[in-house]
Amino acid sequence: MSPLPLSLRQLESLVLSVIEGDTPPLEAVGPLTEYQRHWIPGLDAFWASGVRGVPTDVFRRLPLHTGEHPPTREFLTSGTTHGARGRSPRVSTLCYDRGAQLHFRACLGSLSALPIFALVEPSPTSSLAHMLQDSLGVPCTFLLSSQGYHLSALGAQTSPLLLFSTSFALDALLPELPPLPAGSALIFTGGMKGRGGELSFSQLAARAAGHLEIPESMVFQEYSMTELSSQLWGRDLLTPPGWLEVSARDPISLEPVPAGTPGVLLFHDLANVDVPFAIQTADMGRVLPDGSVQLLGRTPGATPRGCSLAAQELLGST
Amino acid sequence: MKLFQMSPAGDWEGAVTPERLGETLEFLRGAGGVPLSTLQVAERLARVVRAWESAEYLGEALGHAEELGTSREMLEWGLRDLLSRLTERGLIALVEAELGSVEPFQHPRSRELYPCARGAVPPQLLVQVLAGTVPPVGIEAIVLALLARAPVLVKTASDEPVVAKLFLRSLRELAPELAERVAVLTWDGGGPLDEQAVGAASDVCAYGGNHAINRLLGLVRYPTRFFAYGHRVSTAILEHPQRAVRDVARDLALDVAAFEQRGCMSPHCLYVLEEEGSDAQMWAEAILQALDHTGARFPRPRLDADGARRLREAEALAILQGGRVLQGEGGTVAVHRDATFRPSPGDRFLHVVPVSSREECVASLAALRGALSTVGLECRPPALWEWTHFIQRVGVPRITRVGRMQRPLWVRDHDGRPRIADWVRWTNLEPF
Repeated sequence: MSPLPLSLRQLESLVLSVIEGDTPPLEAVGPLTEYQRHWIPGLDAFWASGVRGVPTDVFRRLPLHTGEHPPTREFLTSGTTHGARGRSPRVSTLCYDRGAQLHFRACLGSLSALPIFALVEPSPTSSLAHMLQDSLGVPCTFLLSSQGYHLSALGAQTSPLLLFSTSFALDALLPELPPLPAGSALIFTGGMKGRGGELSFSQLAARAAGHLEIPESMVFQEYSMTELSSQLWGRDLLTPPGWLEVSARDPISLEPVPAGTPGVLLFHDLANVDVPFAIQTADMGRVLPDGSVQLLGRTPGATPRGCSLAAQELLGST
Repeated sequence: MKLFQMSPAGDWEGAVTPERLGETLEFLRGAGGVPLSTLQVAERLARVVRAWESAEYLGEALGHAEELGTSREMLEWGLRDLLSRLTERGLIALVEAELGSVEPFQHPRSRELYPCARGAVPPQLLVQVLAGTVPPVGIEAIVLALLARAPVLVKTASDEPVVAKLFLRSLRELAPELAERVAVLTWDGGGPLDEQAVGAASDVCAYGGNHAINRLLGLVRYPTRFFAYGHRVSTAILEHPQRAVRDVARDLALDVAAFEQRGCMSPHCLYVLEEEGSDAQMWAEAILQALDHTGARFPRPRLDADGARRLREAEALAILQGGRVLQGEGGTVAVHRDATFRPSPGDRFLHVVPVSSREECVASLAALRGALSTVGLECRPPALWEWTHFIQRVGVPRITRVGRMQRPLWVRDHDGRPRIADWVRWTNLEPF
């Protein structure tokens, strides 16, 4: 008879010690696998089929989470052009919050202490809004609301700040944005595919930096998704935290591809304690030998999804 | 007027421009209805169909199978099946069945017990917008329009521009008086050309996804009439079939594989009324085996990245919900525990769902009211009428036997509506 897995609280402590750097990530993999095999319905059979990562599209139909405790909140994807939103119910965001803060600081350095102004709508179901408001440890002012956008707070700033935006909101609102105070930086997130063209990081960075009067070196991007608890930060190349393993897979066979070869991205996120930690995305990317990741957009023909779409719907209705 | 230039290689020269489309629409609107009798139209169409069956046109179409996302064998099966139904007699019978007489356009007739005669009037300009999921529709669209004597502009889907254009070429060569009333063009939908085409039409008939249909509907202005065949799905039901398991499974596998499960009549889900000796698991295994055999005859197209993603999602969802997934060379069958209808991701993927009663099955189907096209039914004769009654109640427009799901009878409605009668107007001649 196999022993009972750790409890959620015990597992969280273990993963937190991984996030803090006190425990090697590999030590958490076994207990996390056992916990999720036991507590997330269907996952045992799913893994037995030989596939590891749960496809992100599954969360639109089936909100998978631990059955040990009832969820206390639910993150929803920003929607797709096909309507259904992915759901990720959470029991706890302890690992999410601590991991987000530490990796944000590690990647952004002194910039991570700047106040954030976000071209994002605050919403209790948005994991992005949660990260900005509750995880990063700096004050965040939201510039979008269900009524539209409010840029006056941004215009009044004279001290350095971080402007955080979805790609779509940035593209749509750039002409309205004032120059940023010296020493400020821009971070954007989300792709543009399926919404009338796709801009590369360098195209968007060059355009935005010119308009906001900041050096291009002060433009960054963030990548995550509702189904993950961890983020990648960087410029053209993104850095995952040590507890997040990223691999690129052949889009058809899901076999690993050699380093630097484009593939669909598979994540093993140890901070996903109460939701499946192996997530198969439809996002294309390259994983370089040093572990950094270059995003290449969505799998051809895949349903466009992501934070940018919520902003587009909002702006389209104002 | 020479509307269409075709290079020797068979490619249409030049993109569709507003000017070119404008000329085409103006020409067709001014052309008037096809000035031939039903017998003449049917005779000419049948002649073209025979030429298709025997020689170069079919072969040329089959050369495009891979780019249409199917195998040569499957495309040939689909085209030959349609062509075999387009007989002279069949074409005449459709006109008679739907319009009340063989020559309703030439000779106003009064029907028994009706006080006045009436004569049919063809649409001034029919614009047909095709979806590209089922290639033979490219032929059907032109044939139906000509039976309604309509000048017709067929806008093909960008990913299936072949069959309608080849059929028009054969018309031009073998029945030029019909070809004069037909134009076939391809452009990417969603732009101003749609508005131009719809704006010139007296009648619009659109096939496709609901989003595309609604977008076109938004362009229509009264008195233009709009007919649509939007997104629909189909399902099969087994209740203790009289035929051998192997035969039913073979026929169902063909229903699944036909047109690569992209058509509205493609079964997504099979409901199995479980009873002694007949359970969902047993049927799933039989169908998987039959799909393998079908795959040997009609090779499964190579999956692209998006198709693989959709397949993985469906498989993952089935397993995570407690079902079982059986994978074979010829397709995939997922056996579920509950009676919920599930859409297939395509690529010959069938969900098998157990039900304990007819009522449970119909309750599951009721959730799809308005979105069901066809039910393929396999049961013993005494149960047929009871099933018909149940299925009719949830608004399913067509019930047929398993194995015929993708081959609807020609002289019958499509999705519950007549094929040509919708487009025709009537002039009533009251007694003097």
